[in-house]
Amino acid sequence: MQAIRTSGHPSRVLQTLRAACYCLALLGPSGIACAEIVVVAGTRSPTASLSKEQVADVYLAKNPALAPMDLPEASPLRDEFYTRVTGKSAAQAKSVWARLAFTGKAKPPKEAPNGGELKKLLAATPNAIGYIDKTELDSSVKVLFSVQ
Amino acid sequence: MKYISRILPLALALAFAPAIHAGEAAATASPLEFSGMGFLTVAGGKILGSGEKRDVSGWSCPCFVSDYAQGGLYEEGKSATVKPDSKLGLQGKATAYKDFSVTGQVVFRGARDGKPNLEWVYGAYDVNDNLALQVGRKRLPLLFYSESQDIGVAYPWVHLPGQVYGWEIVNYNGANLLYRDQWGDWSGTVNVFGGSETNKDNGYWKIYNGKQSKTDSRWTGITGAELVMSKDWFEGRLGYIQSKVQNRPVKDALEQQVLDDEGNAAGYSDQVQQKIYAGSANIDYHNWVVRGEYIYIDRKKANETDISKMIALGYRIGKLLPMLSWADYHYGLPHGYVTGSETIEAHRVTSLVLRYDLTTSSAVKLQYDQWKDRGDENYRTTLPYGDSKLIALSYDMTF
Repeated sequence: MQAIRTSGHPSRVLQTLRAACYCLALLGPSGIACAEIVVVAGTRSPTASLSKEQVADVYLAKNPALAPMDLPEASPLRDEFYTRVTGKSAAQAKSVWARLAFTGKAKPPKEAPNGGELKKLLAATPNAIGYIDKTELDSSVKVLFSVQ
Repeated sequence: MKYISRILPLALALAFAPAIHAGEAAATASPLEFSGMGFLTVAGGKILGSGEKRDVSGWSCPCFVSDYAQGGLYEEGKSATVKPDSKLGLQGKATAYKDFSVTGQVVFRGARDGKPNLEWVYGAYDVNDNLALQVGRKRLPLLFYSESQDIGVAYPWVHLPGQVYGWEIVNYNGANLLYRDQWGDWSGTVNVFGGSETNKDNGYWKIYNGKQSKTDSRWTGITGAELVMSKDWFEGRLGYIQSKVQNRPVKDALEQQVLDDEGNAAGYSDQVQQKIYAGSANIDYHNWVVRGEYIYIDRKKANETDISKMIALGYRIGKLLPMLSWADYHYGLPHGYVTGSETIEAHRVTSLVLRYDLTTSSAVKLQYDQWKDRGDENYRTTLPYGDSKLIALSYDMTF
């Protein structure tokens, strides 16, 4: 696996602003705040931490060493995760996976029905990573990256 | 009705697909896992009337070739049709102890009257996270989208430009070694492969030899390699393939058996060596989308080349992607062999595409194509397909 990158994207400020605007857009009439997303792995995972770029690589089929896990398509957290971390929509990412998965060039992300089930899958799969709402954190998983 | 009766069982299979997919995540602890997924394209299109109509070997032209390999073609004067581009694919995979797997994929196409076609069946052994050995029947990786040309969700067009993706052989039986890794900021895939393929009664030659004709094609001694590299907003591909090519005309446009000089059924033509060079460049920079492809095929013994190129430019506006593309094909005689009687095939397609992502796994696309025949006079006299305009709408999904 590649070393953690130290250089950031040249338009990091722009991306942060975009993410902030995106979160504001998610604010409904109820005023519920934008979800705080954490990228996690099972406690037996040898991976200690990941950069945003490394997480993006995993979820765009560029790092075969780690297996990504997804939440269902209906989950708003899924769209938010892909937009804020990979810079692509969930549909664009799925398009990449469709090309590779049907042709035997990559294994598509396994899908868990909810955050709780995802944590169970991560506990059983040391090389897998997933993303959950920070409020769902417990001792069965460790945080590799926090989405700011 | 015959077509609908073939599609109906497939729709039922589609209805049960979510249950198969759900089983994928549920069976993780077992040493033997079964999983399934699929894709569907329902596409309809119509030639926009030119006021002229002529028969070209059984085809009503001016016509538009949307899929050479499958003989998918829209014809002048016909009502809107879903046959040339609609397809349903079902893929099943059995994995044993995570490292061994067998994958099979069957595709039902409108262009083949809904008949099932086993296009993928291969076994794989994952040597480690980076390296896999695959043996069996697969798509031939000629160009960037060649292996995924049936997965409509994977690309912006309703149909891939035939100028670049139009070849008689699109599968091979053999083996490949696949290596994936990261080098610094670059991610890459190296794939080396070898095998052979015989495509009997293929759609490609029906387009040239006649709607009712039958022609078999054979590529033997296929060996090749591809390198795909990506970094941030760029993805590039280089590919090389060589093989021996042969064709055998079985029936002509009038469905008469083709005989040789001695009155026997015609055999395969002499083997001709071909070398295929291909390059692709894809850019996804902020909202800008660029797709570029180039392929050069040299069959020196036959004194002929094929040169195809494509460039596309799009701009994402949320879930909407408008894109304009140009694709060009030119047959050539590169080695000074000019008699004046040869026919030079050449054509260009300009396409305007609108893709809208409905969900993560589905999209609708609207495409307007203008096909311009640029062949020489001999070609346009022999095979007067002509210029055509096509409007097509598709719904694509994976499940």
